[in-house]
Amino acid sequence: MKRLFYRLAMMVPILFAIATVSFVATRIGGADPAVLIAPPESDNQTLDNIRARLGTDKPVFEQYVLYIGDVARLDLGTSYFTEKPVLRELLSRAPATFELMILGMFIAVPLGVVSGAIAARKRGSIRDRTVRGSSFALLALPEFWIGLLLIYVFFFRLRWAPPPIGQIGVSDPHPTPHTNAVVVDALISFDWTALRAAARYAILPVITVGLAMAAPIARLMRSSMIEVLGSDYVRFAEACGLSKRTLFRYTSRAALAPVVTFVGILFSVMLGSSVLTEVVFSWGGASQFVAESALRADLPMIQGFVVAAGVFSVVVFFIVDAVLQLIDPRVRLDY
Amino acid sequence: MEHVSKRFAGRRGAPDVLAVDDVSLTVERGQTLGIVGESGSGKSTLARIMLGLIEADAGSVNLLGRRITGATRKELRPWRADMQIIVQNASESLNPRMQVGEIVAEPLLLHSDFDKIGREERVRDLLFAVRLDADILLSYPHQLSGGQQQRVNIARAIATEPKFVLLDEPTSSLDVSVRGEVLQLLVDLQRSSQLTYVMISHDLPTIRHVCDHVAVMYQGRIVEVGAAARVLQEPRHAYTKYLLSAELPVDPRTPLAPLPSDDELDFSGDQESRL
Amino acid sequence: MAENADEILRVEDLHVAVGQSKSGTAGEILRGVSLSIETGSMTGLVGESGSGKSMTARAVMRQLPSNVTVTHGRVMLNQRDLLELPVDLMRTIRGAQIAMVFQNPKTALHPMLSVERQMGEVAKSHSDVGGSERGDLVREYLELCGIPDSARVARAYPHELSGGLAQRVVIAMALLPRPELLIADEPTTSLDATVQRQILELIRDLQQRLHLSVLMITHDLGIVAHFCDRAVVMSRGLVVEQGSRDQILTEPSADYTKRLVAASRLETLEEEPRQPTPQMP
Repeated sequence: MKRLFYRLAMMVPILFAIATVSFVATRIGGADPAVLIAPPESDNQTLDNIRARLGTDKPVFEQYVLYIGDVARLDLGTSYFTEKPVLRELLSRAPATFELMILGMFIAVPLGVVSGAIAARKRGSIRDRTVRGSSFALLALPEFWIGLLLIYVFFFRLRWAPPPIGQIGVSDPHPTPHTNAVVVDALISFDWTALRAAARYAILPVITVGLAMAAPIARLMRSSMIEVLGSDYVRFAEACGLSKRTLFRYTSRAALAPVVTFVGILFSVMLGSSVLTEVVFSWGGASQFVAESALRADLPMIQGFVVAAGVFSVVVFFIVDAVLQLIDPRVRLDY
Repeated sequence: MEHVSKRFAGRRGAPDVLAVDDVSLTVERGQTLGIVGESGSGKSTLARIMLGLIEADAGSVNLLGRRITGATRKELRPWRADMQIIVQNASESLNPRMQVGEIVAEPLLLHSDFDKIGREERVRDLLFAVRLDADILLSYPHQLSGGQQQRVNIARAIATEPKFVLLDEPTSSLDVSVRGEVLQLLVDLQRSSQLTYVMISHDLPTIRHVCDHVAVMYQGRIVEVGAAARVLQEPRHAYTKYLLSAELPVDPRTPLAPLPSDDELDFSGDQESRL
Repeated sequence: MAENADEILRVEDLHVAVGQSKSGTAGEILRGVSLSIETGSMTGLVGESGSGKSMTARAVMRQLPSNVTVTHGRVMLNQRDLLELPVDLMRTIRGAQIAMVFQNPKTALHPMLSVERQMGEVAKSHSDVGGSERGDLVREYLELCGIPDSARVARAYPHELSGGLAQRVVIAMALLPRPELLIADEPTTSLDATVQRQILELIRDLQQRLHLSVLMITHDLGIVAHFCDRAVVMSRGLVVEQGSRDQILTEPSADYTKRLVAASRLETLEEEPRQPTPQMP
């Protein structure tokens, strides 16, 4: 229990640091938001008014303190572009992003784990080399590029997949919007026709994310498995006459431990690569919105996203840590 | 060494470890002191304090007339030519990317004024001194056997003509058949160059044959010290007796001393023995 | 060699090689190893590094590394050739008839499972004992191996145990299925001398109580001298000599054996034990 409180307490300074970094990073370019959002040819008076409204006329340090105070109260500011609160904008679009990531993980994890395990069992075989080669290629390619490639082959050339215009086609039956994540909405309303339509549009993006994420998982699983298969404890267990099934359980448990932590971390890394993938598929999630915000120089939006993403990552790491403690008793020693 | 102590902070909630507890030792020039102890006795830490590789928390170390404790790294550097160390794992001490010739020449580069020709000659002499063929000059460590690797270590160690050599289990990881040769080499080198050795070992026959004096360490303290022949024949401290009882001489006719029962196994209360 | 009903294990002309036959040169690790182990004896398999002693044990257990194969020979356990058996049958023999213990006890135990969980698995796979009985059985064997505090040790995880304690657990786990033959591959090499003695005495004690035959693989002739009845000497993939302990240690016939024995006693060192200079403090 003490461990838990220690970990939670550690989160506070980390979040603080994230907010600070976000603040600094968005101001490094020295862009003046007033100039960016004001209509062109505004006179200085208008600009000063805007600055006063935005609060950018105050000294930087004061801005910083106010900002931190706002963040602590969960007020991430107001978008320059939509003039709505940043947090609300992010939250309304977040489900779509999460839907894409989670569905992608449903593909990535089984694919990665199984192919990594298969590759490890017969090192040097064709299977092994296939897995290693393809995972290397997938790692080298940026995720959005994989998406573009899939679009080119399966939509443009083969016409099997629908066009990358978003989560669902304009003329298709839309489910009632609860979360703005179309597949989820269709599911919770039991709207099967909408679900079918949504699923068609979701295939390529989900496969894109799935493949991109499966690659590092497969590699880690492979090396973890190789290490376990050659270990003394597996050999001793076999020497004691344990059945094939029991040995399989032994090796899986040992090999999966590092993979579990990795998947958790991967999940938060995915958020970064999802930005461009969403743009490529016009997915309409929070990530795409932030990409657009960056192009519009909507500073509060960008800042807010960084903070939100940071918070998300910290929470994920915390969960991953807790899970690892459950699985691996060796880790339980600390604190 | 006088009243040397070293404490290591415990990791993650574990208590602190008093690795070396008030140890005092003297070694005469040209002699060999053996240090015996099991794992956790602090012998390795003590050895490294001796050479200034680790800072002691308390006490002083005077080696070859120089004060080692408290000296800065810069001060120690030129002294290193006179004091060397040979460790247990022969292969790990050798840079796998360097040829034998380069490895042995390295200390000459650092501490001597030899030019390239001079260094090459000296390296050949050194290899001869450790009874290795000159044609291994171009070999890499992984191409050598364990015994050969250790000899390269020895050649490198004596390159700068040190006066003091610390040997930390020099033959423990070598094959049995090779140990004798390497030990013989070490003994011969000592005689010809007037070296002073401190040898750490857990192998009692080695101590018996090579050391003049021996100190027995247990949990950071020296529990017994004296002439090797005497300590190993007539141990006074209970722990020394315990160590000796565990020895397995290669002669089935020598009866084994009985293992002490569990309640005789607490040595911490025992007095230190004096010479 | 004539078949002997008092032999529990006999290895005949075993050849083991590493590497694929495709690449042409396959290095032979075992070049025709033949040895026999008498029932109820403690036989020492002695050799230096690279002699092939561990590989022989792994070949017997059919646990060779993936790129190593048996190219010739037989391994007869109770008049059955183990090398010819289908894999499933071999699995039933492991543990139930032959057990093996390794050098490093802490890496031999699964790091994420408690002692009783791992030992319970072994018990489960060899008999039908139910849950609570299994717990009793585990504790019984732990106590048999000199662990009086069996309940606490059973609940512990491997990283919490000391080397000697871990080795006792490993031995207890190996003996759970009541094998006839125990192969111990350098079981004490990583332990302190005093603990080594305890473990060796434990093994000898268990050998007598459980009517075990033991193959003790070691490089230490001291162990052979005081714990083994018989000895087999190996060098570079071949058996150089085998016989009774006394014969090997006091009257060896092979040159290699003579040299090995002499080196073990440090007889090659010229010096007498040293006399220090008089004025030592």
